[in-house]
Amino acid sequence: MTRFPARNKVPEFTVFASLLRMATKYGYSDVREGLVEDLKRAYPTEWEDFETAKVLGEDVFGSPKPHPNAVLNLFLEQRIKFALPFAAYRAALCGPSSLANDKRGTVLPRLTLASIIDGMGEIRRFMTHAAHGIAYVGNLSVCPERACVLNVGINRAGRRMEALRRVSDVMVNKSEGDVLSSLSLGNLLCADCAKLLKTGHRDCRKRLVWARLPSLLGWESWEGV
Amino acid sequence: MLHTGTYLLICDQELREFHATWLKREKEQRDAAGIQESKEGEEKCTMAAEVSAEVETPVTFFFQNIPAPTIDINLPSSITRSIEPPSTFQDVESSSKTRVSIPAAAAFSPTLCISTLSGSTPTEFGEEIEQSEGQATVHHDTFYFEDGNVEIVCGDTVFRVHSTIISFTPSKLQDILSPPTPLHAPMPEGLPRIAVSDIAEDFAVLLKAIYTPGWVSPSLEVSSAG
Repeated sequence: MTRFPARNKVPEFTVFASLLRMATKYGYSDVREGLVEDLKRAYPTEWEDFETAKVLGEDVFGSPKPHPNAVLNLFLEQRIKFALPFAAYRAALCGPSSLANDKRGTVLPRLTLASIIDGMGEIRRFMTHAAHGIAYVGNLSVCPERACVLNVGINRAGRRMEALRRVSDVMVNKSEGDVLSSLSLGNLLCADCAKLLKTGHRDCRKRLVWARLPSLLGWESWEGV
Repeated sequence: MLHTGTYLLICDQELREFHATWLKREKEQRDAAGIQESKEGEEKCTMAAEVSAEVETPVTFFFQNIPAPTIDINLPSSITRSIEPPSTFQDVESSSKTRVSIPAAAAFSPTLCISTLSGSTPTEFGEEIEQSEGQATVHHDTFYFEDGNVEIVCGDTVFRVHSTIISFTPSKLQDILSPPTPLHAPMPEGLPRIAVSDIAEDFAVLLKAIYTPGWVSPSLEVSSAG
């Protein structure tokens, strides 16, 4: 079954939201199921699906892109539970001012907002601990390669510690593919250190961020959703 | 050099500052809402004082070929003599507006109760079907078909559609447009007009899905199998 054949993709958010509301209210169950199906790849519930997804979050909708808060509000209103943790995470990633946006359609319910703030605080704390663990006391802390910025010989200039600090900063929010480019360390790290950094970062995200996404909205785990 | 502990403290500080900012904004919004409510309350008091001087209640009736509604005006017996009731209910119907003047000294918050037919409308969506007469409306640009046979009102937007086409898409919407609901609906433009509580933009998208086979999914296509 081809959906929205004119563009062969999910329509813009306002149309999608209208159709979802109307399909729910007037009992077009087939249409609702089809619309929800379109969301499943962009709002994954499994880490493996998240890793392989080409389009994530609100990017699945046609242009113009909706505000993440608006998407979360729609999912809350329409009780699309499976997508709520990831939608909340996408909203939180945009930062505090975006999360507390007070424009029409983007105002989150107070309890939801408070829950997301608390949850993101916890995730950031866990992630920061883990990032420091990798960068300061793990294998990255000492590198025998003289060309690597993490070589102990460079430590005297404080450059190595500065690099480690930036590693910890970026690892909290960026995906592992973005870490090196964001740090501009691609040509400063040796291959082994870069690999260790990416692997450690990925493990942290899976164990500490992904596993805790449901807590953003009060669930203990993905099973609870 | 930035130690782990220091970095964590900075993270916590950022969160605390954001919490404080958020709480402050909430408080400001609550305060603003409280001030607005108090102002509205003052205005209501002022209006009540004016009303007590002379109560003029405009009552608008539209003639329909349906059972007559009833009007109950509960007033103190001391003032009922000052009101000249119409000789028959038909007289009220024939005038567009009827004003009931009540002397200020005797007005004790009279109540006007008009029983409508909405309670007797046999439909699952009965609570959403409203009488929409007297409200300025505009025709929808796309979904106002001259040859339609039923009108649906969302807010101030009127859709004129074909009940036959909609009947091919089994849903609760079909139930609304099926008899006996249209038989009880008002007909300001010669066709039954049914009001629903949806946003016009949402309803237009639904109609586009119904009238455009294949736009959404085969389930909404018009087919003989329906």
